[in-house]
Amino acid sequence: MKTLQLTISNHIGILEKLSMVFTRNRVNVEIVELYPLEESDESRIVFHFDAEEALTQRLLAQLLRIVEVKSGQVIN
Amino acid sequence: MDAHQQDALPTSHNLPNTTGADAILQSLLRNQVTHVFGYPGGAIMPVYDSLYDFSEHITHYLTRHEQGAIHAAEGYARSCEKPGVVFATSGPGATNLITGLADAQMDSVPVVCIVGQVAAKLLGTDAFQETNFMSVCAPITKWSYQVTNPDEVAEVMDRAFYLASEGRPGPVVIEITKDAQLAHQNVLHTSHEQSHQRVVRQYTPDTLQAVAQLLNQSKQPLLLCGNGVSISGAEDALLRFVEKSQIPVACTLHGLSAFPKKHELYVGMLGMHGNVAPNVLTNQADVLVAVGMRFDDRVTGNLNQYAKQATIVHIDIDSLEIGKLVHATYGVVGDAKEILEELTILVEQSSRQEWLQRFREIDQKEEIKVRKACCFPESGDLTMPEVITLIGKQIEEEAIVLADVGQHQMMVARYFPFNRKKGFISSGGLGTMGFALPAAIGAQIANPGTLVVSFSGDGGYQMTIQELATIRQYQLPLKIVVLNNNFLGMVRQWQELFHGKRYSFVELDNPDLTKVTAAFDIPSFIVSERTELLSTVNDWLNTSGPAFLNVIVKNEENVFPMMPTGAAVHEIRME
Repeated sequence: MKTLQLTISNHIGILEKLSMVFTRNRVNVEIVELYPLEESDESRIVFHFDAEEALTQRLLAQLLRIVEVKSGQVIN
Repeated sequence: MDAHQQDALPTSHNLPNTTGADAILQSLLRNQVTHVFGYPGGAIMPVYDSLYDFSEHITHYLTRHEQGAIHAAEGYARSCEKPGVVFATSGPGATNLITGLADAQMDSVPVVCIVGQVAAKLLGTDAFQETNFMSVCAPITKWSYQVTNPDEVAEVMDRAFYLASEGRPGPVVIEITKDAQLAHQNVLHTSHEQSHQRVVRQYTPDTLQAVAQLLNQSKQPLLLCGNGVSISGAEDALLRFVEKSQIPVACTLHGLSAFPKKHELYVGMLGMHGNVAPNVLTNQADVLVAVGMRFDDRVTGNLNQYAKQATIVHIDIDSLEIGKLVHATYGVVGDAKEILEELTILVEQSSRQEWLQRFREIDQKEEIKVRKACCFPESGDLTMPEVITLIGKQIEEEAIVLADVGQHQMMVARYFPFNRKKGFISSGGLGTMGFALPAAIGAQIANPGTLVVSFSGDGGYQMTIQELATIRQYQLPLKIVVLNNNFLGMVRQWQELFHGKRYSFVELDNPDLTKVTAAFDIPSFIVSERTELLSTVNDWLNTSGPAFLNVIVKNEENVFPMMPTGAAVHEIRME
């Protein structure tokens, strides 16, 4: 299981954009966790899924291209 | 906007009681917008009301459908250096933009759409003309944002224009609730901030040095010129680069007007209906230099048999394109113009006559087997290639040419002698039938003194035919031609070749398109005889203002060469 953590700017439609990246890469997301950050319009969102390392890095690169994504990292 | 223009603005709009709608119009001026395409409706009425005061500075073109507006904005953006701007209302107004948004996303076209939305308190209540448009358009926009606070407008709008054009361009949607349009701002926006500016340049001098060395040692290099060359304005840089290195140039559909077709280094169009030589020799080149192209499946054919022998250099502003489909030994991420200019300094003057001769030999076979017969037939019905060739010959001035989608699109791409930078506009990625006519409207508005010729098939023409009313209203001097075979020709061709000629719903029992167009007060011509073709084309071209030409062509004509689905590039068929 891979874990990918993103800091995003909260905005209507952002979850669809992020989900679409997984869908287009045919990756099934097992768990999504969402943590709004206090005193900010940003949230931390964590995706848990199964994928090879290369695909995970590719997902990260694609996600980082989305304007609302401020930062991201693969946790393990 | 200069100080003079700023002073000339309606004074009430510089006061602190500026509404959200006023702020949108001010943002347009700040971002040098002079033309807008749109269609009003309930949820965007405050913006239209504000537009009334700005009409000296911004010209609005009322299309007859929102899809027409966004395709016009695409044509506008693709034929000049500015993003296209669209206004639409909520609900159906917004959803009518969907095809255009997807089209702009696929073909990297900078478009900014401003759409209305129901008041914030009604969001999520299934209010009249409410759609969750942000979610609908999320996957087909570069950025989309919903504004519910008028104080956000200026910053969001500046960001929208920046994002639409920066790096790889694309469509942006700004949705603004009706209450935010009506409410007064509490904060004045004064500066034009680019807080999110990103510099796209991910290569080192060493990388370019290595690429130059590779090219200097290469015996059989081939350059693939894509849409990015036009977007970057790298046409002249490309010319200087290949003239020094003597690398043959093959173009993708969108790359066609970025390199002169008459140039001795031009070896043809790539892809499914491209020329034989560049397709076949892709699989014999030792180095492929791909510039601003994305190895689309229509270009590569079977990826498992694509250029396996070649070292690939991929130059693109979008880092995610590098290695997406084809492994690149050298991925150079940045602006094509800058990179080509730097490479030109590094490459050696070369001569590759033997390699160029290979292209010419194969091309000669295509000339005999394909072009001669279809471009210059002596009997039978008119063919699309002969009509396109003749029109191309009769046009002496620089022209912007648009093609819709289907057989005629491939024929125009193959046979029209494009003679202008950004001179060929078509829907390549999404393949949107009905694109050409409204896109031609935008191209004509962006280039008022330029001849704009729009080619359509009889199927696509009827998909956005209502935009003839827009052409009539603004008396746009477009030259419209329909290559009319009473078939959905490309689907018919595939049914003939791959489905045992079982023609399933491809025959069109059309109305008289000449009469239909004439009903819009557009002078209309029809021709079906070879002996009358030249004179009718001249009459049509010499008509002042808009003019329509309905050419009745052979019913069952096929586009060859053709690379069947699943075939490799070198397996392209001439018959």
